[in-house]
Amino acid sequence: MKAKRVLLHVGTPKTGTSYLQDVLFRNRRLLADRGILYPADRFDAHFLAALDLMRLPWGGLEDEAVGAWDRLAEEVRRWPGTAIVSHEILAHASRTEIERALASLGDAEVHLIVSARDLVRQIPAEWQENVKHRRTIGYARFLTAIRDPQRRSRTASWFWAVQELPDILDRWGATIPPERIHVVTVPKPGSAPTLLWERFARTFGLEGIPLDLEVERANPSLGAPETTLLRRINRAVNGFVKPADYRPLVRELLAHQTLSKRTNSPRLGVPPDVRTWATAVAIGWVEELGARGYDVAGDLEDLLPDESGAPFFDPDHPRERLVNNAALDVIRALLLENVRLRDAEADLAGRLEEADRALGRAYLRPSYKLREKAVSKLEHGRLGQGVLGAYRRARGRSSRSA
Amino acid sequence: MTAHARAWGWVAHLTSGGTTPWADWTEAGPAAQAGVLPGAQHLELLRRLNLAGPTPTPLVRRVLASGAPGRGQQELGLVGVAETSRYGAPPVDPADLPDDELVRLASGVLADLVVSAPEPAPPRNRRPRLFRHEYRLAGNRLTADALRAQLIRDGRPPGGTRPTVVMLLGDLGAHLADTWAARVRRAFAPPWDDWIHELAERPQLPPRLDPVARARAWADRVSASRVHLALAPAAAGEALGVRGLTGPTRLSHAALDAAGHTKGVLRVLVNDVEREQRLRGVLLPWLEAGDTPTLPAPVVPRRHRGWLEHEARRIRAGLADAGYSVHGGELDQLLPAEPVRTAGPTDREVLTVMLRTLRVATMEGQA
Repeated sequence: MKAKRVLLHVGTPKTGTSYLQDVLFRNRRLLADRGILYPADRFDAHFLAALDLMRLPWGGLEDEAVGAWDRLAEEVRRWPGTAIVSHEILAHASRTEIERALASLGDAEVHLIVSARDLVRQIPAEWQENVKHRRTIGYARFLTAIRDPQRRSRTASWFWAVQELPDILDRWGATIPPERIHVVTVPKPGSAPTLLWERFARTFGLEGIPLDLEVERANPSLGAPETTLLRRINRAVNGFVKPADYRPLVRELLAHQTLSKRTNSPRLGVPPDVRTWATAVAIGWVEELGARGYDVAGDLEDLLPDESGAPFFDPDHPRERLVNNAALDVIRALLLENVRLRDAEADLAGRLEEADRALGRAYLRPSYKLREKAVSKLEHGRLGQGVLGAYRRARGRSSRSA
Repeated sequence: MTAHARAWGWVAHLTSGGTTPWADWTEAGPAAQAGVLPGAQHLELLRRLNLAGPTPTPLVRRVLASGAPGRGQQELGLVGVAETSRYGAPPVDPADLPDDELVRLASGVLADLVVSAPEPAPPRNRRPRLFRHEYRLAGNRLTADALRAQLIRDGRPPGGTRPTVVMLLGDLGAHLADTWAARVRRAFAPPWDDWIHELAERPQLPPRLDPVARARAWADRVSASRVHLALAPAAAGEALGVRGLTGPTRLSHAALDAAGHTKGVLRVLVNDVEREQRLRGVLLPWLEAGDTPTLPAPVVPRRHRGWLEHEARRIRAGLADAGYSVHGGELDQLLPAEPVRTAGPTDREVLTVMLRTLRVATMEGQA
């Protein structure tokens, strides 16, 4: 009999996790046939479970997360074969939360998986994620915050909690033997596009399964001027756009569906001094991870930043022409969305009119007219009001006038 | 003595009610302990709780086992002990921790206590009286909620086809603070500063909050002669022919912020129906008991005082022109008094209320 195993993928963000999770979700029935459980009734089930485990507010989505971790853990415990749990924000979990999580998974053999990318690419990606979650912090302030050795700000504490590989592995891997800890490295730029998936497939035991690899959801990156524009939009709308509206309108429509398509604009990077500092940090991490004896899918050298010849585009001081061009695309997208909504509105108005006419025909029936007359007469006299009141009380509260 | 022995000694000291700060602690623990040391935040929260007397054991356990909710620092190491790790946030002297980090942890502990408390009993209301005054309460929502609850308990539910409408009014600054407090007590509410700033950006109060517009809307429905303005809770009773009505218990701004923090955690712990029940039936009574009476209610910031005074004068004129009956004083009472303090609560004040509230919860046998 195969051992009962849990593959616990806890990070890090911006390492192809959305793609992986979408493939797992879309193929969950096929995977179950092969003895692999991806326990999810909705695409973001593991995200909600992570919010629940860590008690994280997330723009109102936490309302949907009540009890989500316990439900997920119960499904995992009941499954006799291999189960996969995957969400990148689990990297943020504290020791107390990790203890609870691991205890809830029962007696299965837990394998910890962390996917990782070089720090120089992660820094701007994390800032961009902040902006895509409606924050307005400037890039220079963000870079200063994450370089504070005390990590006092919420920006810094979040960044290091989800990016500092040795610490994530210390927290999550404290009770897991190193041979059951797997690091999947994101290939360097220019590598074969399928290479990361191949590494994931090997680590998760998905090789040879005919999975549908076309995805519906991804978390695409934005260029530097596009991120600047989004930050300005946040500043302009944060006061009055509710989180439930921000997600579909700004994050999805503007960021993911519109601005991410502008692939020719300059990419976000880091200034030279930050590159030097981040490279030194990354070298330390690679040495540390190499000494720990983990299973590595890929090469730890992938985590060392390349020398970059590309100039740094400062998103705090962008070329306004590029931002304006991005803004035009946004205006176009909003107009098209408005046209769609106007069409939907016209359609609904037509249906409402039709319903109104049908209601009018019902009102014309003699019995309705009689009842209406009776009520009208009763409402004008004191005795009538009493009779009507008694009738309405007898009928119950719902029949009273509003 | 090793650094770890000293740390475990401090843990034992705190769990038995000690208050010595980490920097002054020099003794080893009674025996070597296995396991991971609790975080600096947990230990400092426990020490602050002990400052008011030894913390009951169930609450000690809960503090040490609770994860700090939301974003912020994870469990931090103690300075002098945790320097061996090259990764993670640097260790700290717990006394240097910012108060907002302790508030974050305390809100998680308090939310756990709220969820584990027995289900609140539904209010015991008398059966509706056969002959009763038809009425509606409007205006100050906090006061209206409190008076309506008293009237319902007394068998006088609101309603009717031609009710007497009593609009509860008072100092406009306090009126707006009560309106926000009522939102905090019910469900989601933005921070006070954001909420009042958003209002002050408008040329005048939106119709739902504008007493002139509300009174006019009621007058159109039931006639102006049935609209009464009450400038005190007792005056509302006078307009309705009911004695003994008392106003609401007001929470300080610090306690309302504590409620906001704890509600944020409750959102992940229980569904919205249960959250509202537990908010009203458990958390708010605890906060009322744990509140510091000397702390002020929310006050309109100084930069919006001009707007507030202008609005108060507009509302006074609008209501006076309409000629409604006024009970319990003069419409001049709508003009805002000069507040003693215009800054919001500090994190220290919010933490103080939370520590007291955790004790209240424990004393009631909930911990």
